[in-house]
Amino acid sequence: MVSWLISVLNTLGISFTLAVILTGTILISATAGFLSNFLVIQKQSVLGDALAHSSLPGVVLAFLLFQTKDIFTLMVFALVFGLLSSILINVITDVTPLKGDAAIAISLSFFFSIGVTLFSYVQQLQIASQAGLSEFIFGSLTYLTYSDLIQYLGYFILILFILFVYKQQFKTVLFDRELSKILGLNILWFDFLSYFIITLTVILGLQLIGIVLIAGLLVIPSIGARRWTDNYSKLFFISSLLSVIAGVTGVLISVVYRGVPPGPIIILSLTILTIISIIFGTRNGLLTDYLHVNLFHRRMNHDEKLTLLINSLKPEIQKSGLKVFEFNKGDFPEITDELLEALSDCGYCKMVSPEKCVLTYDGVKKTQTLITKGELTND
Amino acid sequence: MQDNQKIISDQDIKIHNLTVVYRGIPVLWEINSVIKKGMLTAIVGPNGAGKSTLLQTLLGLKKPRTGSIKLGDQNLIKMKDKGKYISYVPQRESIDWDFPISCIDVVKMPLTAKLSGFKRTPKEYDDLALEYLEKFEMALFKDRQIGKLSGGQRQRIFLARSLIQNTEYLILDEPFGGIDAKTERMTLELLTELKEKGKTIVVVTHDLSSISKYFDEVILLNTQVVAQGKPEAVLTKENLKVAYGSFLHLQTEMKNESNDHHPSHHSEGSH
Ligand SMILES: Nc1ncnc2c1ncn2[C@@H]1O[C@H](COP(=O)(O)OP(=O)(O)O)[C@@H](O)[C@H]1O
Ligand SMILES: [Mg+2]
Repeated sequence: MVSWLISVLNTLGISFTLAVILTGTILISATAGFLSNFLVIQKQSVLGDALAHSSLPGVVLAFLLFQTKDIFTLMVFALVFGLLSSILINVITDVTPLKGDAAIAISLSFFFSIGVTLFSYVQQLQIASQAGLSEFIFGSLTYLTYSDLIQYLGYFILILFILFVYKQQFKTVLFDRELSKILGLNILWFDFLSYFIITLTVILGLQLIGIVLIAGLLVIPSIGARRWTDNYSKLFFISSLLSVIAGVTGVLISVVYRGVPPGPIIILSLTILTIISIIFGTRNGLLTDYLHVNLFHRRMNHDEKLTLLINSLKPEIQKSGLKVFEFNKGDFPEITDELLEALSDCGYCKMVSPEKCVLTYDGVKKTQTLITKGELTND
Repeated sequence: MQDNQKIISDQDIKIHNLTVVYRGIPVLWEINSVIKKGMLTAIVGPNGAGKSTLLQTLLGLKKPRTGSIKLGDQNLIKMKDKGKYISYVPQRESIDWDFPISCIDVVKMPLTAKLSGFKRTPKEYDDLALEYLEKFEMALFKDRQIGKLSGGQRQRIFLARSLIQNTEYLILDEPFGGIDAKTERMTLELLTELKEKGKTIVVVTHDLSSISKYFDEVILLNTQVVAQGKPEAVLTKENLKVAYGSFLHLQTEMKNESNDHHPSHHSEGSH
């Protein structure tokens, strides 16, 4: 898959090095965009931040001890510090009156400070390979190699596999922890898994985007994506897409203007995409909502709604008469669910199956009154 | 396994000496009570009385400091697979209504929760979920996002979700708070019907006026069990005064209000 993507990019006239970088970017941003939903849906966006920041001391320590940037080593250290951080969060909420957010903020700054202190120490040491470490702050493209990429792909597949196998379980645990417990799902295990996957993504993303901004990539995509859909699966797809667009944009700009780190530009593009989504999104976007409320569904009373319905149904009514009138919702695309819902609620019609709707006695009577009043014409 | 289920479903739920503590403060204190098999039991008490806590302990969602809850000779708190025997309609405040999930997916959830990603959702599950949606007149809204419903409609979705588990014991936490009269009546009648089929049902409610008509048993709770028994015997002025203290006047006001309430079909659709 990687070599395929690289060869596709190659034929587009993109150099091998850039193709490697772009492929890596696509993998990382897709994963982060995907996972962002976990944090946002659980309203735990600060937790992503905490995990990212508390992994800094882990990463620097691993680097100090082993002078390596091997993903696995870094991740073990990051995980340990992430765990310490979550223990600290729990201790703070247990022994002080502070709420979760405050505790997370304390733990975040505490571990990040340790990280920064360690980091300055390592810089003083002038270790030869130290060069690579400073890129972890804002990210850089220089060091991504083909073998890195193959390793990335391995982890990427691992993450996708876990998410796929436990698709239903994650959905249930995210939506309703109590139900999950009653049904006997092992919440601790799924918490650990999502925590593991998020930390892994943080580590994978460090090189590209840097430790300060990786949390953004783990939160923002979901917020924009939610404005385009109410559907669980589509949400994951769209957030990955937004993230990939931003990632590729960031890398390309960083390549054109040498020296500009990709991280900040990626987050900037992501923010712009999110603002666009918030305004123009088809589901919960501001503009759509405005149009919906003000133009299409301006306030109508029940009689006007009934008139609207009967007018749409006229050809059918003339065929079969008004008294016992049943129709298929699907046959009348101009009749919206909102209209039927409102009319069902006031008792003028009733859904007898997901597709079939009947006029009630009240509905028929009312229609007759409207006809005699001349509000509806019976022709 | 079928046998086991039958044995368990024939049992009362016995609560023995149950104490639950939040941060050192007792919320439930040495509760002793029996929830009788095949009965419709109401749990009544002021806000903060520990009603939700009692239900959550019953479901194994909270650990008690002392005491036990037994179903037959089984320890209910530690029981694995409780979902086979007990289903739960949570208090609506505890649900995230922004969650990107459709009504039919919520109803299906108890069936699909343990499916592996490699398995497709069987068509029977969809059919069954649709059947329950229809039962609650919610089929039209099957693909709608769960938050884009009225209070009563949300309640019906969660009732459908609990019924799809087809359990012998059913626990509902404040199902009547802020919902329309139609859904409340529909729910009470449905619960009565289920009871007649032999199911055991526990409901936390604030609507004192409907209790004597529909419920067999009342547990009046305020940290301790103030009284338990038949509605007429329990809901006396003296008992209510002990349970509610100075809140009593508020509660009787509520009662009068709901007695004066005229059910209206037009109240929901006016927005
Ligand atoms: N998660 C919690 N942490 C601390 N205290 C809690 C928590 N949940 C409930 N309580 C406290 O326990 C008491 C009982 O709560 P609850 O069982 O929800 O009462 P009810 O359902 O009867 O209104 C209340 O005083 C409440 O403040
Ligand atoms: Mg409660």
